[in-house]
Amino acid sequence: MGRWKILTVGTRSRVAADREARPTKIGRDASPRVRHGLSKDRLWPLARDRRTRKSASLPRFGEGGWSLVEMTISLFLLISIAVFGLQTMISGWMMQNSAIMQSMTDAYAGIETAYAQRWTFANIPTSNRWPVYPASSSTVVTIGKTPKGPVSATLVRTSRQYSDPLTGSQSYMLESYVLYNDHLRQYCKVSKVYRDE
Amino acid sequence: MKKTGQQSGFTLIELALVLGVSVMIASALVGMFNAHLQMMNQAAQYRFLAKDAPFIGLLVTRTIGNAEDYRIFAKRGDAVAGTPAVLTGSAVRLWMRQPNSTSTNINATYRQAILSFEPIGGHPGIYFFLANNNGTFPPAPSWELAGDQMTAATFDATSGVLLATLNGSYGDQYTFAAEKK
Repeated sequence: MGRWKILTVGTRSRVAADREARPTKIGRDASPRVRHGLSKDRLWPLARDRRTRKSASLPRFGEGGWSLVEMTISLFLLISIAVFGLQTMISGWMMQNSAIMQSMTDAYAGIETAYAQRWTFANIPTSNRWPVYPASSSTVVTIGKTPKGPVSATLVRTSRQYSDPLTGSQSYMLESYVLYNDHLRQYCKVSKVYRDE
Repeated sequence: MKKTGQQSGFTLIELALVLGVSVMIASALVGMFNAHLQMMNQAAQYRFLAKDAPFIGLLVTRTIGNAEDYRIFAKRGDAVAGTPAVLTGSAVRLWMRQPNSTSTNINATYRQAILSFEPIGGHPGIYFFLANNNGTFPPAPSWELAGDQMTAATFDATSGVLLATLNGSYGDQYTFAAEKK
């Protein structure tokens, strides 16, 4: 019957110790190396131990550079995601501003329509509110207020006059144009109302 | 000093580079985060103009557009009492023709309603009060046009056209013609 003995080594890493914790047969059946405590398992763990002991606790030469590359890539990805999110926010913000401008100019064009429908017919040519084309009037009006302040637009009014040759009755096409800018382009909302006697 | 193949740790240049790049990217991220917060805050401030005001305007215009006639009052109590109408106020009384009505009773021929901005239950909004066939207005609103951020609503007929102005919480204002077109 052979004896079982756990071989221990003076200075070992945990890996080496685990490897050496395996029972090694000592006795007549064992090889001469084993009898002298020089098994294969014991030889290479010691040799390996010298390499791994430092490499396990401290980075090898050049690892710092790789960390820099990894960190840079990670931060680049992070900032890319942040820029993408910011662009999405800006797009949403611009869409919201555009929607506000649309509703405000629509509302003001509706006000112009209401005035054109309500204006006393006899006063249309004399009031000069809608000058007969090619004449026109242009004024800057406040169409609403945002938390940043009043919103202005340019209002252009003109009209087309028609006299019926048979009856002599007058008719007008009252036109109001609401012009506004959104920093890039100029837009126009049109209100046209036909009035006749 | 001899440089061996087992040199450990970072060099000063590596650390400086990492710190520099990290500081730059962190600054950019903080800036973007601040911009993100500002945009979210502004989007919340503009929500009334972007969503609530056009929706309320559409409903008010449709409601008043169905009326044959209207009168403006300073407040709902005046509209109910029938005090002399004014040109600017927060309540408007509507007369809406009943379809297929053959009654000679004006209250049956014209259904009356009041559209009023006021706080009810601590909640400011535009409320609709529909009178019964006897011309009596209910104490509780029939339905509500509530805007979370609406602080005031004014009806004005000074210029001959009924204009409604909605005010938001951040000084924002939305004006529209609230009558049949």
